[in-house]
Amino acid sequence: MIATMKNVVKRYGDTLALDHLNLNVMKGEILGLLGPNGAGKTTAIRTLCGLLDADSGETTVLGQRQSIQNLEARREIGLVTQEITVFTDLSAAENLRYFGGLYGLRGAALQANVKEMLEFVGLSDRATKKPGTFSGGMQRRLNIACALVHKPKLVIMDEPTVGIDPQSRNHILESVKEIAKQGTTVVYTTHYMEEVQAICDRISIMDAGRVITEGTLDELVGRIQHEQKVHLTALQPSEALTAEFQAISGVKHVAANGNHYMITSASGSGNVSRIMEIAQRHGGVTSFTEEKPNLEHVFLTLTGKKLRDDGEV
Amino acid sequence: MGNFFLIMTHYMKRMLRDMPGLPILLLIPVGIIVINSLAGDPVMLDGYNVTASFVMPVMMLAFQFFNMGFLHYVLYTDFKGDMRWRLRAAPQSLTGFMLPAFTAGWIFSILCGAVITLVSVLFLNVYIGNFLVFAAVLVLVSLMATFLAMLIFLFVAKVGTANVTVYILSFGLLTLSGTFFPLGNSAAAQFIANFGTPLVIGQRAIIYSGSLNEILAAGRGMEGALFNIGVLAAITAVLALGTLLAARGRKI
Repeated sequence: MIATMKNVVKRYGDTLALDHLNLNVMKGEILGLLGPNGAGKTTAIRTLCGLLDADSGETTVLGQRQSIQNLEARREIGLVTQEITVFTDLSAAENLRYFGGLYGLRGAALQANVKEMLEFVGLSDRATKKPGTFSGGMQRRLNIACALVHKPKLVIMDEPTVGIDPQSRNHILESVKEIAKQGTTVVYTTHYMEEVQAICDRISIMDAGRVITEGTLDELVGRIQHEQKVHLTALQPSEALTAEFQAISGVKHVAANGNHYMITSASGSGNVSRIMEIAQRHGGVTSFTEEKPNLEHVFLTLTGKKLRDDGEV
Repeated sequence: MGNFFLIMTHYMKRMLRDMPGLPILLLIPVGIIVINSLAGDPVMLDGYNVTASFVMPVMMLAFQFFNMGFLHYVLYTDFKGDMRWRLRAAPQSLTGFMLPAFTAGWIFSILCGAVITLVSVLFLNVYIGNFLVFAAVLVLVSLMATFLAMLIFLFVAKVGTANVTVYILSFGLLTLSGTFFPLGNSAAAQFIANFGTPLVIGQRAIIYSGSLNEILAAGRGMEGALFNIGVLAAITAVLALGTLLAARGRKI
């Protein structure tokens, strides 16, 4: 394990931000830290980075006890902040040289890393330009490059794709996969479950300052009881077709709207093939999809909340 | 301390790139000196413009305090904004950032004072007395202003309030130096006009140290200059101690 948090408690006045948090980060993985706003994700990663001291509990990173005073433990960590934190009065290359220098890089090694990072994030042709002239996506990419320039072993990314266009987001997600391939461990926080599903090896779901469940995507989805939903477009819709669907064992509800059907079955009923067989006997279908449970469903089942709102469902 | 030079040059670079703030804060004092040197019939002595020679030190030293805004801009951006998380995540202590930032602010301030002085000497026939005395005054008042900037940074949460504080302090010092209007003939007013601010203490030291000393009370000469430098050093030492104590007790 590259980092652990054991029974970590952190309070801000009366607010319990971390409530006996237990979190393990395996070497080489992309760990998704998922949760709604206010779950404690940012407090957790700031504690992991040594930016905050917990009130109790223990945080270790790369074999060292993490704390505000331990500067050495930070050498191998890179932090991609949620806000864009680059110097607007320095060029892209100057930003990278400064941050690389802070982590001890000098001379030819620094120059080589700066050049490599600019190429990695696709900003080589903007090396001498200031971030104020960049688009939001380009600023985010520079933000990431500044955290990677010293080639850290552990990179913590705090919602790195907030407020950017889909193309830039995809570029960033591909970059995250690439750095993980090179052996860097990544802790990736977000409240966009599609990002976590796209890149993470393992997912920890946080709420109210603690990890409520963790595992791979398949493991998490498998833990919840979920209704099975099939959507199909029938070539020859009819009342007979509707009645046959309703007669299948385990089917809870059939909704028909013109030639579009939505058939809801109990979890584990295994009705997909039966539904397809019936549809084929009644003239066939032009579309057939099975709605699979996702992280949003996992979170909703476990907490009663949606990932992207703070309110209760 | 391995990153001291890196961080110091980083802050110097950013302060020197502050546009249009930097040219404005260089042009304004020079402009005031020019206006004063041309107003009425300039009094010339030994080829020096006496009026300008009295105005220049006060303006140049006053703008050491106005220049606090440059240091505040980088400190507030870096340590009271979002950037603080990225910087604090680096393997660098807060002291390791603050000391080079302080040094950069101090050197920057000296450079600004040197530019104003150079322009005044080359083009406005300004007299600067003994060069070593002049340099000591500039270095000490720059240091004083930089300590004051750090104290404001430690106690004032927002950069806007800090800027207002800087302007109030700087204009206050200029007012107490008798720049805008005479302070009167009372003993207290005369004391303030002659000794009440670092601006006039520094101005007097410069004037005492050279041949224009005859304009003022005769006999003060170099002894008077050194005494005034001592006063400036004492004020700076008090501010330094205050800043160190405050830095220990305050959380940034």
